[in-house]
Amino acid sequence: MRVQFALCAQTASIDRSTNRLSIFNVVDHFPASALPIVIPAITFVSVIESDRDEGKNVKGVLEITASKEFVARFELPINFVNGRLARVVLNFQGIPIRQSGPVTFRLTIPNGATAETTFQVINLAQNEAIQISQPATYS
Amino acid sequence: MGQGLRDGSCSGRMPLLRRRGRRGHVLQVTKMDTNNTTAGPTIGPRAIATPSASEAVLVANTPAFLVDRLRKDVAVQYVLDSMTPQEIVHALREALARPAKQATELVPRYVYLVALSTIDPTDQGLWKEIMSLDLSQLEWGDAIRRLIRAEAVPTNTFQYTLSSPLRS
Repeated sequence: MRVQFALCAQTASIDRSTNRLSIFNVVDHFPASALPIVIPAITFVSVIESDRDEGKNVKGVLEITASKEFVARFELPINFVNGRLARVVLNFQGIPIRQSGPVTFRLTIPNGATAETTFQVINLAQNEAIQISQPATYS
Repeated sequence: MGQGLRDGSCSGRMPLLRRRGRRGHVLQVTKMDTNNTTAGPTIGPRAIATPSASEAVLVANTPAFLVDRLRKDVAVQYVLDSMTPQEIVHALREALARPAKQATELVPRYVYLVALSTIDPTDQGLWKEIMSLDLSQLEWGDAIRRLIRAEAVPTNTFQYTLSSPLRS
């Protein structure tokens, strides 16, 4: 079993006529003007490739951690049907973030692959303070 | 001339003043029956062999091009709007049972086949039926079937709302 990709985005959609996946506004960082905050909506997307001999259905576990602090854990039944590929799309609402740092989504499939993606929550107020304490020098 | 036609008795239109004068007159005497329409779930092959679908089958140089063209075609949209997936498979099976005498008879078969590309990837029963179809009389039938099967990737979607511990 192999992970093609895993990422977080604002939204993802499947085209009804072509069954093609589109991912919109990929989240590579999240700027926070104040902490703690709640990320209102985020979508975790992953495509997993199975070997032919493996089972049609597997049970995955998704864990979310923010700055090494446990946020949530879910068990997910992943259905490959008869093909080799399966898409996993999770829509979350209201992810609480207490401090700046990495937010990690880790989808683990027992005896299989691990799909993992991380983005940074940046505290803008803290960044501004650093910039003020270190003013630019002009020659 | 145009004015004469509008005012004439043969135009079928009634001047506004005269219409107001006949308040009790009902223009449509027969009651409309919506249950007895002729459009049913089954669509005749002639109805979907539209000029644009025929052109797509005629000019296509690859199976992928034909699938792309027909997917956007009104004929496929019409089939999808009017028939269930089961009915499309049944119609295709029936059409394939008869040998095509003319090239134009192939158009509805390709339209039905491409319409099947929208079937739910997790509907295993229906996919079994599609895989059992004998598409030997369609030159690109097997290639199109392999193409739509490869594109039928299942999507496992989940929705979660996390309760915020920040409020406590």
